[in-house]
Amino acid sequence: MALSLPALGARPPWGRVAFALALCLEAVPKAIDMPELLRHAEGSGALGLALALGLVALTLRWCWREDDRAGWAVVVLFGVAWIIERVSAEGHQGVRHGSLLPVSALIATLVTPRLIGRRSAELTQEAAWGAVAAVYTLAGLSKVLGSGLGWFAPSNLGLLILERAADAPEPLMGLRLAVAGSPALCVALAAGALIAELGGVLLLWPRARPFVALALVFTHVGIAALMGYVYASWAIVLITLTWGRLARDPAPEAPLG
Amino acid sequence: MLNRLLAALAPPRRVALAAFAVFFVGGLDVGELYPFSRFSMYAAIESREEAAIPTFRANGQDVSPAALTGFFGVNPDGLAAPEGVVTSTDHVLRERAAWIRANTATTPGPVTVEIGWELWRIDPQTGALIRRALLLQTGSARWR
Repeated sequence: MALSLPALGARPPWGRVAFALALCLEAVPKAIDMPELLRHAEGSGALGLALALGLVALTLRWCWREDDRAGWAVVVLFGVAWIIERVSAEGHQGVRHGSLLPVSALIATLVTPRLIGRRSAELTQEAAWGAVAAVYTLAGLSKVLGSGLGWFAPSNLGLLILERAADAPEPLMGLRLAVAGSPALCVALAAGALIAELGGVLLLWPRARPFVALALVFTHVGIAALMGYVYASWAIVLITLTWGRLARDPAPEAPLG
Repeated sequence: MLNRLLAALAPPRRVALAAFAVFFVGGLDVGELYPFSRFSMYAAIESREEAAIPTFRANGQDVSPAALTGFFGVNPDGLAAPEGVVTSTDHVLRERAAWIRANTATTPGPVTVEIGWELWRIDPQTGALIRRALLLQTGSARWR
């Protein structure tokens, strides 16, 4: 008797696979964080694992089957995780917002066909770009509004890096101490990060995207090395949108079914 | 000139502008409400001279609190930075407090626990790292 695998449909473009990987990267920590967030409550490990597995399974379905309902379910599950994180880590804004960039881009891609009344690979990708541009511009604007010129003070970034040198592995500890000890470098890095983030608005202009995306990817590499925050999913989304496609090429212009 | 530069970059598509407007205005106006955010991590700074690093030592060695259980004589609500000490590592404190709160004991353990802070600064003249320690609490625990 022949065994038949469920139909997977045509292989998705690498950009869509990479985008799904970015979503999965944000899903996995939910399994790790949940027991800690729920104060080690009984069953929280299983809840976190179920949440992460559900997110990965639905993301893969969205990716391979082009199933928009699975995509919306991913958005809802990330929302559930967000609520748990907010309730558990009260007053702790920001650190757990890593999933919001890929989720914002996903929402934009899911909404666009409904709004324009047809499927268009190009316009869907443009909508994702709009969401990503907004996220980076907001991040830069928050620094301008929150710190003003104080953002550029050497002690600002220097002390943030120094606080993350203490428990860093040996090569990174040396790097962080060296950077924190150089006021000029701290000013330059603070300025560079702010310019790159505010420059996120330029992602709206198609020909500017490769340059801005590269600058932002390098910014993420710097943040990972000096602060220890690995925003891999954000970098993957930037690379995916710049050089990949979220839907098959040539773009299908089929009406919504 | 700016117009010519922007024209050379190819104009934005309306759908990109619409998505930008939704998430930008949503983030600014609504703030921290899924899926919106202002992404303001470390955006607001406080004036300070030293980096403040929370420390956790067991028998004199730096360890993760998760390596221990059965905390005795340690107040999880008393881990915060002392008056005048500003830190960007509040999340570490919250995680440590949650762990200690969930793993307390009613009898002392064999491991001596010291919880406090290290205040680091770099001498602008010599570039040397200058460290000073603040001890907040001592108690006991046992290895997991």
